[in-house]
Order: sequence, then C-alpha cells, then structure tokens
Amino acid sequence: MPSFDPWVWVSALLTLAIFSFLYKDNPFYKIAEHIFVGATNGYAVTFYWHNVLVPRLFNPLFQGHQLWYIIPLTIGILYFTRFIPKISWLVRIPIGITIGYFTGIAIPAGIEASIIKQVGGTLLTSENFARWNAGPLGIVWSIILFIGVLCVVSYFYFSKEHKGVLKVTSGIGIIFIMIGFGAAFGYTVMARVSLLIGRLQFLLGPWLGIIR
Amino acid sequence: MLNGAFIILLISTLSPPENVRALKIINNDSISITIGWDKSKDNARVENYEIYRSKYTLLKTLVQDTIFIDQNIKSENYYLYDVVKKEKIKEYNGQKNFLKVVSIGYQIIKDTISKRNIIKWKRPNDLYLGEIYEIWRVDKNDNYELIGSVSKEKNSFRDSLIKDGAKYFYKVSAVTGTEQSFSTPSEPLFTIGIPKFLFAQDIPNDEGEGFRIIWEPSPNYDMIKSYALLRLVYDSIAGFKDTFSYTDTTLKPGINYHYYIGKNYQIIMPAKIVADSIGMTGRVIKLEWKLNPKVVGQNYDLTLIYRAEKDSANNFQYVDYTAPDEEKFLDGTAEPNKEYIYEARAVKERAIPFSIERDTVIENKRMVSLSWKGSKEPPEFLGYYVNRTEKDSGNYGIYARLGTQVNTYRDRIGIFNNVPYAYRIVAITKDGEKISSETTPYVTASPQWFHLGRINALIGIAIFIFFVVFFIEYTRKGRQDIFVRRIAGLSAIDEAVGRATEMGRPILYVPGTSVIDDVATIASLNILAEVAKKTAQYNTPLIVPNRDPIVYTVAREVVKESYNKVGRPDAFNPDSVYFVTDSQFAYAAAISGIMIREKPATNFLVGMFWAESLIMAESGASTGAIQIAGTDAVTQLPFFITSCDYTLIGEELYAASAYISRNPTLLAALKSQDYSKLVIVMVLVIATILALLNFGIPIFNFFNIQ
Repeated sequence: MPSFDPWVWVSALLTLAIFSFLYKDNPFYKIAEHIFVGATNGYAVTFYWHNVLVPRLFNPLFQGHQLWYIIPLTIGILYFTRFIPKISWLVRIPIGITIGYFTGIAIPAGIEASIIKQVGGTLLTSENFARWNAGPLGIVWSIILFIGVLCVVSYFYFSKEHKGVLKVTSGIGIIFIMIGFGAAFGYTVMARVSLLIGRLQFLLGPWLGIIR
Repeated sequence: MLNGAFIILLISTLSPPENVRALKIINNDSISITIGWDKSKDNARVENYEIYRSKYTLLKTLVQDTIFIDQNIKSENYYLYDVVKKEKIKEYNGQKNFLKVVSIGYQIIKDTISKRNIIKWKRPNDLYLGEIYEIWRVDKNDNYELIGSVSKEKNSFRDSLIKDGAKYFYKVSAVTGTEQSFSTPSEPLFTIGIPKFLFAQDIPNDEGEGFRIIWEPSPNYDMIKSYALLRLVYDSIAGFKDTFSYTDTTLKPGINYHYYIGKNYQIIMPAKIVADSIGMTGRVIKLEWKLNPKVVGQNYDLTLIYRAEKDSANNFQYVDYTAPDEEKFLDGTAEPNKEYIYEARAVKERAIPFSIERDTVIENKRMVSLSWKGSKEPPEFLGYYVNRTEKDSGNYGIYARLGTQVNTYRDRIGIFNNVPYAYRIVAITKDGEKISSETTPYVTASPQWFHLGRINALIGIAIFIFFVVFFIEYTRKGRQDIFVRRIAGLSAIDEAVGRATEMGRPILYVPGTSVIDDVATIASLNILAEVAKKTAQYNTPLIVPNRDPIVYTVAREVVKESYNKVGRPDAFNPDSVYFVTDSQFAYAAAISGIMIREKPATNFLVGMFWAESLIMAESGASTGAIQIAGTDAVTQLPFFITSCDYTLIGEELYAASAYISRNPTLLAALKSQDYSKLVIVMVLVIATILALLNFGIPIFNFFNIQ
C-alpha cells in the first residue's frame, strides 16, 4: 500500500524529478535541482551558525571572555573585506593563512602516507612477503608489485621523452595503471549500483509499499 | 554449549582406517547435539551401532542409522560420544558368530595456554586394544615425529615441548605386536602464548598527557576473544582546598610509592529533561544542557552526569559520563515512577609540581611529607588531591578493552605529565582465561617539540626542498633549458579554449569538490590561473562554480589575478566565480544543470572528486563539449578516462601548472619532483638489495612512521 506520509511523497517525487534528467533537462528537474541546492545551503548556514560559530567562537569569546578568540574572529572577518573595494586586498591575508596552514599540513602528510609508507610497502623484504598472506606466492606478488611501482613511476617522469628504456618501462607502467583503473572501475560501479538500489528500495518500499 | 568451550573436541578413529569411518558432530546447539558416522564399507556385516555418552552411558542402540540426535543435554556442558559398531564375524579363531566390537573412538586435544598440549584418546576396545600407544607429532611441513609412548592403561599424553604460536598436528597409534593402527590427524593446535609488550612510550610531538602502547599480537588471534589494557592506578588519598602540604603516614613497610598532586575543577550545568519515555529496554530519559562557554577550548576532560530524586534534591548521585563537548545524554537507568533532576558537571584534573620535603622512619613508622604551591584559582576550583600508587607491586585497572586485530593503542585519558605509569596487556581467551603480559617499565609523558619517530619524513622533505631550491636557483641563473615532455591533456588546453572562443560559448571550470587543504585542489587552482589567463586573452566567458566556501574565495582571487596579469582587469566578471552549495550531490545536480543550460564548449573537471564525478562527466559528454579532466582520486580516474576527451592522471595534474605556464620557477618545482622520483626509485632498489642480501640491517623499519 502506498505511503500516507506526505514527506515520503515529497521525497519520492523529488527523486523521480532528479531521475527525469536521464531523459532530458526539464522543469521538474530544474525545480528539484533548485530545491536541493537551496535547501542544502540553508541547512549549511544554520549548521555552521549553531554548531560552529555560536558554540566555538561567540560563546567562549562573549560569555567565557576568552579574548584570544578575537584573533580567529578577525581573520575570518577579513574574508568579508572583498565587499569593500578599497580594502578588498585584505582578503589575501586569510587566504594566505588558510593555504599556508593547510599546505603545511598536506605536504608532510603526503610525504609520509604517499611516499615513505608506499616505499616501505614495496620493498622486497620478508615482512612484505608475509603481508600477502599467500605463503611462497607472496614473494611473486611482491616482485610484481615492485616492478609495477618502478614502471609506473617511470611513466610519470616528465624530464625525458618516452624513448628507449623509458618507453618500455612507461609502457609497462601504463598497463599496470589501467589494470588498477579497471579494478577500481568495477569496484566503484558496484558501489554506485548499491546507491541506485537504495533509492529504488525507497521508491518501491516506503513509498509504494510494493516491497517490504 | 560446545561452541563456547575452549576445549577443542576432535573426533576421529583409532581403529584400522579401512574398517571404520570418522565420527562427526553434525550439529550442536543449546538443546541438542547431532552426531553422525560413515557407514562401514561392508555394512551388511554390521549388527548394530551402540551410542555411548560420557562415562560409558549407553544412550541407544541403532541397527542401520548412522545419525543420532541427543536431545537430553544441558547447555554449557561438555559431552563426549562414542559409537561402537558390532559386527557379525562368521569365523574367528575357530568360533562362529563371534561379535567383533570396534570402537569408533574420539580424541580430545586441549591447548592449555601454559605451553603444553594434552592429547587424549578413547581406547579402542576388545580386539583392537593396543599394547602401547605411540603419540606422533606432525609439524606444518608434514614431518612425522614420534614424541612419546604410553602403556595401554593410559589414554592421554602431555606434550610440553612446544613453541609459542607454532602449529602442531597429532596422531595416536595403537601398537599390538607388529600391528600398528593410526588415528586420523588432529586439527592443528596452537599455543596462544603470553602477550608481549614491544613498548609503551610517550607520544612524540604533542602536548604530552598520553602514551602509545604497542604489543606483539598473538599469532593465534582466533583463540583470543579480546585484549584488555591495564594501567597503573593512582588512588586519591587526601583532598584539600587551602592547604599546601600533606604527610602520608599510611605507608606499608618495604614498599615504594609514586605520588602526584592533582587539582580539580568542576563546572555545573543544570540539565533539562526533554523526553521521558518507556522503551524496549525500560525507562529512558533524554537530557539536554547548554555547555558553559568556559568549558569550550579549556581542555575539560569529561562531563559527568549526576542525578537526584526530586524529593531529595541535594543528594546527587553519579550516573555516567559523556564527552566534554556533548550537550545531551540518554539515561537508561532511571527507575519507573520517580521524578528526577539532573546536573551535567564538566570536570578536569591537572597535575601540579610538588616536592617531597621529608621521607623519614620514626619508631618503625615511615612518613612522607609532600608540599606544593597554591595559586589564585577561579570559582570552579574544587581543591588539591594527593594521589598515590604502590611502586612495582602496583594496582592495575582496565583502561581499554580491545579487539584481537589491534596491537597498538593510544592512551590519552587521565594521564598527567611527569607522572610515572606502567602498563600490562591481558589476552582474554574464548573460554575466559586471562593471560597477562609482563609489566612495562615505568614511562612518563611530557610535551615535546620534535617527533623523533618521523625523522624519515623529515629527510624526505629535506631532499625534496633541496631539489626545489636547487632548481629554482638553476633557472634564476638563466639556465632555462628545462625540458618537460609533452602531456596530451595539457597540450589540449589551448585547443579547448580556442574552440570555445570560436563557438562563442563559455568555458566551465569545476575546481573539484574538496576543500583547500587537498593537494589536488591546490593543483587545480594553479591550472585555473593559467586557463583564466587564456580566457582573458581571448575574452572567452569563464564559469567557475564552487562547492567549498574557502576554495570559492581563493578561486575568485586567482581568476581576478590572472585577468590582471594579462592586462584585462576590465574583462573580469565577478559573477563568473560563484559558490553553489557545499552538499556533494546538490552540487553535482547544479553542475549538470549548468552544463545542459549554458552549453559550455569546454568543461574542465580538475581537482578532487568523489562519487559525483561520473554524474558531471556524463552530463558534459552528452552536450558534446570537449572535456578535460584531472584528478588524483584513483577510484574516479576510470570514470573520467571513459567519459572525457583528455584526462590528467595523478601526477600529471601536479605538473600541469608548470607545463602550461612555462614559468621557470614552476618548471623548477616540476623538475625537483622528477628528481625526487629518481631518488625514490634509487631508494627502492638499494633498500631492496640491502634487504635481500640480509646484512642484518632492519631496512623495513626505516620506512615506519610513528
């Protein structure tokens, strides 16, 4: 039996409106898109106000009298200077702080996670052989991985044309990359299908009551 | 129930293998056990099967069935079964119609944890009674080894010569004269072993007040239910508000003690009951309170929930605790038909410096005098507390219960700097046995500036920075002959911008859906700068919708700057860079709409993407636009490759801004990336050679990051 809950109907009709884009752009899709964007923005503003600005900034500053909170407040306010043309250059201060701060975090983290850990995991050592949990085959897998990593890195070497040895290694590298992408593709498609199943279950279950 | 038992019950035959088949448990649950056995090859000779249970109780005699359900059982009990097959033998030693009785026996092998395996078996009876029993042990390489023998009266053997964590298989043979019959091999048996601490250490590069504990995981984690982490407990022995010294006279002789002085704070926040309902599990009261602003950012440790009955409003009792910044709590312990009032109390404790003024023994009574300095305290100050623990013998409490797959834990609750602590790890087996490790040496926490466990990362960064500085200097000196090979996706940018110009349509640039700290976003903004320069030169409209407010601000500045740089500030349209929404799929829906309605000639999808990548790329493809995508998200690249004309794969994205602009400084950075890659390859090869040659250097550890 179809649902009598009006919110379920709103939800189902909006889902169908979004799905209608598969046919072509149409007014229903436009309505759903604008509601979606508007609602999420409204939600975000409220969320940041109630969960970030008030409890994390205004309360400690104005009620708790923790004066050093003026510093982040000032930096944040500088973002709004771009509305005043004469001092709009001040917006570069918070941007510079933000990018500098996050780049500082990102570079060491990137070197640790994407280089040092990966190099450690690629070495042909007994620890890595054992990680495959495949007995003697672990050695074979480790060697394949080792060759794959060297060849893929050579593909991303930009200082030389892909000629001679580099042509061979980068050729092998691109094969490894494509195998990796193929696996990722299949894996991700399965995840997307599960999202679709989730929506269909909603339409056929809570909305139409065809499945339970 | 047998399942819950630690004993491994194995059932096998001890009689000639060609004659008798194995007895098996087919099913066991809390109300019945079903056993079954294979039919004899010559079943016609079988007269009946007799089913025995523990202590040789005959349960039933079956004529032909080979399955028996025992419903007369109690849960959580062990039962041992035996099936005896009686065969008709026409001739034996001249006698006729002799009943040959063959036991389809069982064996129990028990892992006792304490480094011994006990092997038990049921003696085959009558004709197949051995004169001696031999116990064979088989290692994982299938090598049989006779490890002992016992006389025919015995039916068990203890194997104590076993190693921690090794797998063993056993067989028992009954020897009669020259005949020998083997049981089937047992399931592999393990010893669990005592958990072993590798180390407990101060967490480097932090404010202190925490330890990182690592232990060696048991190789047989399937036999362990959980671990418990125990920490030395300090007991509060005295409390003061305006006193700054204390003499401890309650000391036991011959024991050393550790002390610390803690000072406590408490902020009381009245909690409001917002729901009071009877649920499936009983009465549930939902509370909410407003966090006192003083609590925010002041490192309060916990919020304790206190409750009092309305009639005795001053008699508050502790209920539970929540995280310090929580503002709600569900109380499921309230009694029905009672009215309550609640308080949430944010608490913190800090250890302060103190000194031991005197440590004397007078008339065999030891006294330790402690003193500390007072300071001006806010109203929420509760007082000073003297805390003590016995050194070495110790008082240990459980601080964390952990799963079997973990071997590391960060303990950060209630630890004070410069106070000694020690740990034990206890493995809890599936049958509830607890095996404790040795105690770690005493460790103290302190704030640190430098993280010694990440020196390898520092070396990596130093090498990278060296290359960057070197190549920037190299280009500054006028040697600008830096070669970069052709990258198809980037070479197509000119073509894409030109096409949009010719068609009189805009260019859509999506700078990813991530935040500014994502390397891909930063790379994307660098590419946006170059694309914006070209659109400014050709006066091609540019649309840059954003998902993240900060990225939006930066993107706007980047585009504006690019228009300025090429001398076209007048062409910059402030409305061309705008914020859409920070919701992932709402943003994807909006981008799809823009692609269909604005019909851009070129779509750039460059940056970090997640599940929305294909939605956007497919919408763009359907409009016939040239699409140039770039991301370092491995899971999204396949989608871009299938639906876009050009795709920048991972590292190509980072190289892009240098490649497009041909700016010597950026090219120097790109060159330094390349040389860093060469270093990585060399490190890989050299480290592998060193590891394979096995010089005893722990190569693998150099790449561990703590």
